[in-house]
Amino acid sequence: MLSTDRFFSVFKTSARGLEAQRIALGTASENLANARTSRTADGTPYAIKRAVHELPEAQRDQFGNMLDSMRLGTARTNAAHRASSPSFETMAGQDLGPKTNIEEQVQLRAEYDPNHPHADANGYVQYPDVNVVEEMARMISANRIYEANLTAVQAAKEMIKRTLEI
Amino acid sequence: METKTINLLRRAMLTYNMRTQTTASNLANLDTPGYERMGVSFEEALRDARNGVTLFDQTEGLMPNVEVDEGPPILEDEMMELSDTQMRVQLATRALSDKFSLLRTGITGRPG
Repeated sequence: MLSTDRFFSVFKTSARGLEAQRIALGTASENLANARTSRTADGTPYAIKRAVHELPEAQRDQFGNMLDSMRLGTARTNAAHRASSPSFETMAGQDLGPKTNIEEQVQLRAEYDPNHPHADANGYVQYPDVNVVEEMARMISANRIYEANLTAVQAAKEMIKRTLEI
Repeated sequence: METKTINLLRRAMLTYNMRTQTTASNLANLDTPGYERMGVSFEEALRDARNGVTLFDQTEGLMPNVEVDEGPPILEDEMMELSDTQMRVQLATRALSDKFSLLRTGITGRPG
């Protein structure tokens, strides 16, 4: 393992973190923009999108181990009994950021509007059930965590600069 | 040559490097469900090794260790750790360059 990889995997990790929050911000604004979309290209109302973050590999294995041990009926509760914490050697070079996927969920609410061209036989129009307040909160949260990740990048850069000045 | 101080500072720098990495990971995974906070322990282990009464120097082979805590990371704590690590890096690099300039003075006979 090159020692430079130790330094630069910080940027990989933070990049994944930034990406995750950018996707979360994107889905929140997409949901807001489509709050009144009653019909999409395939004829159904807009499906609400969510950014779902998955554990980084270093912890996913551990979680897998934990699941296995639970299946065997020997769940470990004490941190000291855990299989192994990720060592620096396995950690170095790989990014420790989350993997982010977009998931769609169909949540609808009906509104009575018989004159609407998308109204059904009973006069109801199906809209996606977008909670505006919730989406706004998600946007703010994503913004703040994005900033925090940027600060981490800044700190890592500063640290490398200081190290080169020795 | 007085390598003991340099060696200790080297391991301290490694600790800060690792800690920046775990903090970056904690910040990147702030809202990842199931993620458990990671940290690096070195200072406390060093202190314990110093306080232990033994014939041999226990601090010599001590290396930083990655630890996984239970529970999710907290934004404020991670930001604090980030600036804490930065300050420690400044201190360690300062100490290292002072050490080297001292050695240089000893070798060349000129100050600085």
